[in-house]
Amino acid sequence: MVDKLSSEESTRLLLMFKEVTHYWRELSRGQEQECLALVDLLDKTRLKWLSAYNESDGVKQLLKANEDETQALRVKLKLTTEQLKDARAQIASLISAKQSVESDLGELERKFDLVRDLLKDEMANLPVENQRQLAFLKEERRHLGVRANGQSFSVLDGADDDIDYDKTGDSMDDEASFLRSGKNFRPSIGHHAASGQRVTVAKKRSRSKSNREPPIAEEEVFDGEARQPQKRSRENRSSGHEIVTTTTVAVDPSGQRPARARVSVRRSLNRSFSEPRDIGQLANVAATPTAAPRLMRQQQSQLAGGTMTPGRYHTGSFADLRSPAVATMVQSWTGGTSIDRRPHFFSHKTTLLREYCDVCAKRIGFGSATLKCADCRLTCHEHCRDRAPMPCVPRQGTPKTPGNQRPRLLEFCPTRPPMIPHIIIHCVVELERRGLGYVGIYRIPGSERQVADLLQKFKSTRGVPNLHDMDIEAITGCMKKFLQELREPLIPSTSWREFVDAAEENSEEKLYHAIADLPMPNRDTLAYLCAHWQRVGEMSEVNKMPLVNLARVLGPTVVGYSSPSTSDMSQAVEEMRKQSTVLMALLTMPHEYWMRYFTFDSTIPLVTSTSTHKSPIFSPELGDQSLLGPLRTPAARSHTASATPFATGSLKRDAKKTYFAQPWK
Amino acid sequence: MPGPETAAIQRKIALMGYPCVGKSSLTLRFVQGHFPDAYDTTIEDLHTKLFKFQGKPYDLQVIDTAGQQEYSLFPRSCALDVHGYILVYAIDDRKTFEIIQTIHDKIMENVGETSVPLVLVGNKLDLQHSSRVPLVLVGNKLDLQHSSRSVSTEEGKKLANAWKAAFIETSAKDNTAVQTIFEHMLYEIESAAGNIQPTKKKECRVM
Repeated sequence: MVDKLSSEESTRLLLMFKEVTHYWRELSRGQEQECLALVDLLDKTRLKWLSAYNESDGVKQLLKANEDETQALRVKLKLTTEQLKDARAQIASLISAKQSVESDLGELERKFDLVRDLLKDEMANLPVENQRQLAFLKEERRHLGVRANGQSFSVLDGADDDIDYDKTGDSMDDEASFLRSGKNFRPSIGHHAASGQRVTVAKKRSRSKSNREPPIAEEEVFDGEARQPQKRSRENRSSGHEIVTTTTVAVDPSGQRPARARVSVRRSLNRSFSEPRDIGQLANVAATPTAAPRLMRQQQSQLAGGTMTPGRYHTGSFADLRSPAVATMVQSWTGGTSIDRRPHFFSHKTTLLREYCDVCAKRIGFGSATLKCADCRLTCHEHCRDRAPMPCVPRQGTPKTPGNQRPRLLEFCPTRPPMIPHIIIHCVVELERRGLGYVGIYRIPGSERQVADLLQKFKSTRGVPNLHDMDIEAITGCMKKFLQELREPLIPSTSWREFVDAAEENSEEKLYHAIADLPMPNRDTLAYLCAHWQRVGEMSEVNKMPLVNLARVLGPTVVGYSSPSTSDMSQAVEEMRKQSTVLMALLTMPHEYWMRYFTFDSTIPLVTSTSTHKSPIFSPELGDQSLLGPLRTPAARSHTASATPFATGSLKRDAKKTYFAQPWK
Repeated sequence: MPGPETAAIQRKIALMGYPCVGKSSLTLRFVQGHFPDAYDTTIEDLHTKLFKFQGKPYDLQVIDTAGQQEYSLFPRSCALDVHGYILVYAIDDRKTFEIIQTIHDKIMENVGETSVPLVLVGNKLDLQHSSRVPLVLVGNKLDLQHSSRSVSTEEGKKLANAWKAAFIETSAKDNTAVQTIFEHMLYEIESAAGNIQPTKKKECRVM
């Protein structure tokens, strides 16, 4: 049947069909599943992608944050490196300064020996009075002998030592703090010495007795005095808070009565030493045990020997007003005249190299006579002498700061006080000559090119650029630009907070402290400028620039910001207002106060204001000690009674040993 | 229609220029109506005044900026949400006119810079530049024009045209066209924002 129903052909087809159907079924079923699997796989992959994408997003953000952080750190590093470099340079300059001072000391010592040798034989021939006056020479020898034996003055052996260290030791115990460098040391030797001969300064004289003390007592006096600086030179800068000790030593020149010393302690705000305090360091050098007593005695000898000229007398007594160790050691370059009349010190020399006259700018012929000022290095023809620009301001060489760094104020200053850059002095002198009545002086800015040119000339040339034809605004602009281009403004950011606080509280005492804490170049320059601006302000009827206006215009230049790199703009605007507040406070301080910093002229009364002045530092109770008195906070004042060196009492030898066992290096 | 107090439109305007050109004088003349005889240096002052322009009340905030270079770090308060700038020079002082161009560049630089983060798509930066910063150039101290004018009206006009800014010469002392400055300013602001259609004739007017 089958055979009938289907031919072989059709059976074959049927079979084939069956087969094909089977295959088709197989294939179709398999494909679907595979498809599903594929879809599943794709789905999973997509999910994985998503998660990976999210993850990478997160990582990217992390990376970005890290990069930002790195950037910030890098900037910080750069800043810190800069600071480090700066600090190193400062240290190097301090060391060299110290060395030069040491060599100076050696020289002076030698000279002194010479003088003593000369006088030794003739001592007996001199009248009795002179002998008494020269008695110190013998002591000197004994002291030198001690030093030659290699004994340091730091040894705490004698009974007289207790006197000195008493108070400091106590305060150490009480407050567990450290001392800072003793730049506030101000002995009144100058006064007492001078009063020994000048009855006019009788105030302090009232205590002098006629009987003489035995020589040994005298020696003790000197010992006590000699060791005091050492205590102050001890310091620990790494500690966060510091204490400033102020020691006032009063020594009778002829040793007729015991020396009085007074120590006061005040806590200083924490600050870094970002600006060089070279002179402060010098003071330290001077304050080291070997240096100080000799210096003092030296000065004494000059006074006692009657060799002191009036000018020098004032220089000496001026020392009492601020850091005396400096002034007694380093003489002011003004030499008693006022800054704007300070003459040149020309010496003749013969020109061999190609040189140009700084006055007429013409060539100085080969081998012709030339004048050269020893201080400001002005070189000129002999016939140009009378036209040489005045005043003469001593110069250092060209600043050695690398071109990529901003110069420091110190580099432009004379090496002796008052440390005011010649740029400032010449500009101020010119302005006071013809600019005080100029409407909008300091407010109207000069043309930028003129200002830049002038400043460049000042910085790069030896002489003084001709200021007579300059616009007033170019001169003021030059001063402003000079100050702005310094690495730090006159009031460095480390002192910023002190000044702002003082100005905002309107506390004169704090302001005095803040000023006293400034590095010497900054302080002298600030004083000179403030005195000048006060004169500008006096003319406000004419120039329309009262002090308020000046403070606003100059505030940012003088005061600066709370940190070297202020980026927050709203904070900057806030700080700008504070800048003018600070400058206003500075400008309203007494004119005489500022004058003291740079005038050693006898016409400025040094003593008269002591008892009448209303500022806390000049308070009458201190009047008979030193003119500026020991600077103290009220807290320190409560200790005053026990702070006198002769109050022996609660001495703690252990504490002393801990802090003073080693001489200061 | 709501009351003028609630509907007042806030607009912030900054005055900039060299020291001693009379920015504070113009501001005080406009806000308080008198000419200050003082010669005080400004650090930065903010004044407010209600002002009616084209029938609408405006609450104007006028920033009187410092001309002193010492204060010249371009404060963000002068760049952020300031709607328009009034650039002032004194017609009796050529220097003030020259420096105004530097100040203009500075504004462009700073306003451009601060606006960038607000534009999310970076490649549309070009749009930012094409949008115009509303400016009015003001030549002050017109009262001195006969005695010591040193910048001519034409020069001022030319510069203003180059910037596509409005131009006007004024005197705060004689109260010449002081109100007009602010009318011009608001006009510039509103037309830059597309709130009013610019009418051609308002380009430059010299009083």
